[in-house]
Amino acid sequence: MNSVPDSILDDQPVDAGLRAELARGDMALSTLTPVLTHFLNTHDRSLFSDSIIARVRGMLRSAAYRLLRVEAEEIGANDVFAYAENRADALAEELAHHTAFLGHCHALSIEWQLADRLRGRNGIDPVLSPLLQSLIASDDGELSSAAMATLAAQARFIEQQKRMEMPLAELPEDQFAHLIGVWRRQREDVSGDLASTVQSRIRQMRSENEARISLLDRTFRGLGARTDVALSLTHAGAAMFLTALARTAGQERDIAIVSTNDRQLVRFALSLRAAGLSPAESRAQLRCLHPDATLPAAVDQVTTQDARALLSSSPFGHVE
Amino acid sequence: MDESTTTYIARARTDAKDRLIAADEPLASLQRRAGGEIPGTIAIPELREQVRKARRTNLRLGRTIHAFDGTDRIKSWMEIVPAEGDDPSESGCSIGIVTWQASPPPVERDDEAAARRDAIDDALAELHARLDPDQKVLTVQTEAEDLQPLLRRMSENLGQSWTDFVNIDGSQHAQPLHWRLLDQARVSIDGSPRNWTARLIPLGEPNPGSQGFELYLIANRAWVARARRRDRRTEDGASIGRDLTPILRQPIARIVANAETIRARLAGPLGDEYSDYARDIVNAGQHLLSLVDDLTDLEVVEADGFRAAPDPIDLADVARRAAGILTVRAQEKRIRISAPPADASQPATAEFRRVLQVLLNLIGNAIRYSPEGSTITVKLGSDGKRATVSVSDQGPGLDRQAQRIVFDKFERLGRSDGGGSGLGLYISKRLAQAMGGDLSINSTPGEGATFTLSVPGRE
Repeated sequence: MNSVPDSILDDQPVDAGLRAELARGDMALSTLTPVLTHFLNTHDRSLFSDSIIARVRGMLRSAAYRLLRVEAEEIGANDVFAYAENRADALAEELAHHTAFLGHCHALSIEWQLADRLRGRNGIDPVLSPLLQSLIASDDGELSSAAMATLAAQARFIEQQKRMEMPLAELPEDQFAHLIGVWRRQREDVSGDLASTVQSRIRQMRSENEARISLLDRTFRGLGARTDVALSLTHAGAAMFLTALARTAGQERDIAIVSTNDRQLVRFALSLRAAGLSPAESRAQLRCLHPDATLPAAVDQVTTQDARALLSSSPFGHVE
Repeated sequence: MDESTTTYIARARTDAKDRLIAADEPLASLQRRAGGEIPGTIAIPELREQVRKARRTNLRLGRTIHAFDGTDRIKSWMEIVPAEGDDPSESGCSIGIVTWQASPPPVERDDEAAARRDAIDDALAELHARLDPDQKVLTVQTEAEDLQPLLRRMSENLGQSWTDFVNIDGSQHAQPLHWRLLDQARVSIDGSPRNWTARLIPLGEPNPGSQGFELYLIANRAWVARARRRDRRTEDGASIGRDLTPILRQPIARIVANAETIRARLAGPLGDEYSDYARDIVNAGQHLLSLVDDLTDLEVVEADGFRAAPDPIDLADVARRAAGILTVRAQEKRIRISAPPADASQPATAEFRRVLQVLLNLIGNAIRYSPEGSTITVKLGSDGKRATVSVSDQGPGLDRQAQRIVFDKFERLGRSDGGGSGLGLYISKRLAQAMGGDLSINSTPGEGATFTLSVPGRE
């Protein structure tokens, strides 16, 4: 045992710290090339534009801050604002390492960007699309009230996006679970009791307002057999269209959102076909987003079943 | 980069909190036009960032700083040098301005400027509502505390015109006016103490408003600022007086009262030593009570906006009352208090209860530190502009060193008995100053001390 030099033992904690830092650097190095390649090969920067990055960062911090606010209130912190403020960056950083949670925030910011682009280019109101307007006026009371609630939720969403916020009540159940999981892992000092009171407080908040995603779903289901009316970007608006596309093509909504990017033309086209649109209708929707895009002719030849099969063979192509 | 080879057209200094404490022109003007003050937090964002960086890393930096002064775009090369000191993070930086260019900003087209104004209003708005083409409310959302009643009323009555829920200044019209007349209108809202400006953003092409409107309500001041101010005071730990005094007083008073009962053997016979313990408890409890009171006063006199409320008063009257209140305590030590005679009068402009508080403190101290059987003299005086009242004792007096520090906070001149908090004279001096007067000491060791309170006189 005497053969181990003292200096090595002494250095161990320092050593471990350096090693961890080096490992971070390794990770950055290993992602350097794919990121650079992506930027070199895409002219459409919309997936990683400054505004998207800023928005995603803001949303991560907002979710972290809101959770910590509840924690601060539950432990009776003197200054709940400062308590949450001081811990939000660290939690947001952890959240950024969670692929699914990060992906959801990214998808929402892309959705906002899409809605904003449809307004600028096609004059489609991001809050009140023609479809929503007609549904609100519908004789079907249930559908009409779902549409009205969707309108309010969509107005909230647009404001939240402008402010780069991510309210906890708007998180889908699995994302909420991810958030709580990351928080528990990062804040080891939080006791089990505190964690469960915080969770139940937030669950209470979540139950007071139905989340936008779930309202969009409800409205979509209310359409019954007329789901095709929602599969038009210019008629249904981005939000309703994306819900309809995800539902009818059997895709995750977040994936459907990202597939509107010009690097995902085929996925988007296949989703439209899988949703039951004809080749001509699919082309019309595609042109609405990417006027200059050309598609492989094969997309015209696949059947709805083929399109579904192709999509579900992709690792991102099915609802979990 | 060496200072000897660089000519600075202007210099400035910052402190350890990155506040600008001195600046030459043109930086001083820019700081003010950017909404800052001198001394005050640096209001030029790029400069603030670089100063903080220089201070934290303790490295000198040369940077181009961009700013907008409201008229011109400013581009300036500045050198930021952390001040030399033992701990660089504790001292500030000096700023040397090497170049300074002002150029007119690019001309913004009218529609761009309007769009930017709309975007700013959108970001500042605390209430967003969606209106239909007839200005009826479709959805509404706000997180502002003072708008929650409005939110409830609007949400319960969707489909009504937005103008039904607010009071539009200077308008008697029941029906919504044309949107152009309502855009930028000043509105007041029941339940909100703030003043609001309404913005109506028309939607739809080619006819603005054909698809409805977005309604923003923008407040004239921030609401959060109040909550923050409250929080800051809490952070300072200065909430003892406001928050703790009422909570502490009651239990301490009960301890004192019960200990007094034991000491006086009111509940039955008791050994002498236990009675003595009870007396100690009474004394400690009373000390604790006075400490709590002192801390309350400390918080009051140290608050930023502390002002006395001066009235025409008679210093002789206050002096006689103070002497009367403490006569019994003085008699316990066979000390005589010589108060101004009943026919004496000394008009002054001061706050009665504050002067009384100061005199009680001065006479109380004199009793505490005077030998048995001595005399305490309370005298009036005036020099035309100022009216004075002085308290002299025959105690041990204070040397020069002690006189210099006797008004300092928590200064007890080396005493460690249970007599006081070391706050009394500090608080008294602050009270005197708040009334436009002062409190001074004159003493020769061995010959007692004279404390003199001066306040503005009145003829």
